[in-house]
Amino acid sequence: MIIDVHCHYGLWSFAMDKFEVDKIREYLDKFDVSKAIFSSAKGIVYDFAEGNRELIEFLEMDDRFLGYLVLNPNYFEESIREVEKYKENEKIIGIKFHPGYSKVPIDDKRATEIVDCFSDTNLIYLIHTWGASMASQLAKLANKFPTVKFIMGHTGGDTWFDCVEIVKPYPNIYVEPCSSYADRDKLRLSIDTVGLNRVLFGSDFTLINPAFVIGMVEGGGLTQEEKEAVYYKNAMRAFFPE
Amino acid sequence: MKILDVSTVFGFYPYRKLDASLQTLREIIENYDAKALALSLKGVFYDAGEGNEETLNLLRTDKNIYPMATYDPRAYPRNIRLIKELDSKVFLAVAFFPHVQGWVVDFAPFRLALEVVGDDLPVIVHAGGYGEITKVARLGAEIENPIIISGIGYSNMSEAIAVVQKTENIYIETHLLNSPDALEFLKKYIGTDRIIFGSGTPLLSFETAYQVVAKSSLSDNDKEKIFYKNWEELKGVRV
Repeated sequence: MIIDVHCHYGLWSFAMDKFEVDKIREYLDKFDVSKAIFSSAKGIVYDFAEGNRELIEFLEMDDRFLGYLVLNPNYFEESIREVEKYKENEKIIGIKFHPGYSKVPIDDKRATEIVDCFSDTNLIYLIHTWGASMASQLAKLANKFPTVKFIMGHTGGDTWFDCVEIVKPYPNIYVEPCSSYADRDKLRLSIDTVGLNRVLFGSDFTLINPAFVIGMVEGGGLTQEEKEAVYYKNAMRAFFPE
Repeated sequence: MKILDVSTVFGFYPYRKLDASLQTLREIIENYDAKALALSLKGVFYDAGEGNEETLNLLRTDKNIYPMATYDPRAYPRNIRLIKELDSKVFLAVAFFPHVQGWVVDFAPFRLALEVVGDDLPVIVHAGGYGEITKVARLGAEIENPIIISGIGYSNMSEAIAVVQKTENIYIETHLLNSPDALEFLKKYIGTDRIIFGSGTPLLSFETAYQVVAKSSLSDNDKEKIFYKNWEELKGVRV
């Protein structure tokens, strides 16, 4: 069983077919994914409101689908309105920031204000990170809002081994390992650094094949208990606390 | 199913603390009952001459892991003799690492190296950025060696398809084929005859590379081609 905390719905600007709902279901079945949390690819790379609208319709198609609203702090008021509009929707359980595509630093004043506005909700933030400077920005944000949960998408990407050290002191930051590079020791070192209960399973599906991260878990020298924690138990505790 | 991995390394990894020892590589390859081509990282990070010598010394009699040579064109003309005289009875391929070593694939010393490498030796090029594969293919059109390009993922898949469609001796290595249905997508446009299995282990996860092929919806026949048959059918290859 897997809870995949990093999935996308929509077309990507690369040589690949669009994954429609049946194909997505087929993949979730193949890899035994019981819950998958999606954000809109269109919302990330282009128009967040249009992408969120499409995502909301998509989420209704399967009980396993849950969602993050994509926000773009360049459009601060619109982002606030977007959360107000959908925050009662039970399928929406988080917010996605992508500092690479929006060109807005993670600890930017507008992004910080958005987090502040909704810090009394249970929304969890999935934040794309690539490089130590983004990990440091995320650490700053997490320090300011210790009761808000953040997921460091990609565990900081190409410098993940430095990034786990940077976020280690912040218990409200989780890490998830997906990346184009399936580093053999990424899970082991992440667990050993930030602690087992802060490592989640995220694949970046439909951009990246879930087999990438499953292979990293299965071939990463983890015990059965560690695998179960990463695959679903930690996500259950983070997203669905009793 | 038989597996031959054309993309493995061993030795000291300077970028961060990581066990990339030959012993670890051997254990991984043995766990999967696979065979592999490998080279010493000394040849990539330090000196091709010393690296190739180490590769040969350690793998000459290995039953599962076969030696692969490398050449660093930044050192040209030093060591060019090595590549001229590479014994294809001993080394099964020669691999180049422009991305790691910081040179571009239309670098004149690399072109010279390709000109002198024996016709019967497969060439593996680890290339990635937009335009690099296109340049490799242009060079490939001038030689007869099979050229296997490593470093193809979702971002440069379009370029890989375009060059394979245009250039007969270009092949795709699998370790970075990260998009879901990447193999099915490639099959639709270029077939499966020119896809060759590689993992990047022990730096990267062998299990990941394995699952990408094994869990694809390709037929067993296609999987066999990718795992080892396509390699065995390359011009000049002996296993």
